[in-house]
Amino acid sequence: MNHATSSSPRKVAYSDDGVDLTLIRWMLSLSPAERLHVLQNNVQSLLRLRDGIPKT
Amino acid sequence: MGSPKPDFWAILQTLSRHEVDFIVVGGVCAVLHGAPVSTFDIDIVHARTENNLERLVKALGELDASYREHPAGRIQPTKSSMSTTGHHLLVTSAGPLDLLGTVTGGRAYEDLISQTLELTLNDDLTVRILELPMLITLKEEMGREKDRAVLPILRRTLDEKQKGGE
Repeated sequence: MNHATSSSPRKVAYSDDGVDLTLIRWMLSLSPAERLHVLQNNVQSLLRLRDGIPKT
Repeated sequence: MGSPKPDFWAILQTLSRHEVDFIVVGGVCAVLHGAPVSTFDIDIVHARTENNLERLVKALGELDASYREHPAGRIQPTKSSMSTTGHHLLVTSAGPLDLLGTVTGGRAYEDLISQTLELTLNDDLTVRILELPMLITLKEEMGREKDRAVLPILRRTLDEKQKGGE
C-alpha cells in the first residue's frame, strides 16, 4: 500500500518497496552540485558524530 | 594521525585539473543523479591509454595517493599498476578513492563511454558520470548484498526522474 503525503494527496510518500520518495523528490529539486554538497555535508556530519567532535 | 576526511570536490577537481579521462560510477554517481544514498569513497573508471595514465599518476601524486591495504608500506600507484584491469583501492589526502580498470562484465572506460553524460558542477569542474540505467545494470550484475540494498532507491530515483521529464 502506498502512503500519501499530507501536503500533496496525489503523491505517495513511499513506494511499494519501502523507498522514501519524498527524499528522492527533494534531491531531484537540487542541482547536481548541490547534491554533491549534501553528500559531503552528510559524510562530515557522520564522521563528527563517530569521532565525538562538536561542530565549531 | 587520523584518516583523511573524504573531500569529493577536491578529488574531482584534481583529476579534472590534470585533464584525466574518467567516469564517476558508484555512490557518488548515484548521488549526482539525485539518489538519496551515502558513501565514504569515490569510485571512478579511468581510461587506460598511455597519455591518460601519465596524467592520472600526476594527479594521484598531487593527492598523495597510496594503497589502502598497505598503510604502513605507503605503496604508491604507478603508471604500470594503473594500466591493469583490476581495482585499486587508494587513500588520498582527500579521502578514499577507488580506481577501477574495469567493472563487471569486463567493461572498460571505452565500453562505458557511450552510456555516460557530462555534468557541469561549477565554472571549473565538469565531470563525466554513468547514466543511471547503466549504473542500475552494473549493480544488478554485481549482485552483492550491498549492491542489492541500494537497487530499490536507484530504481525509484529513475522512475521519479522519468516522471519529472529528466
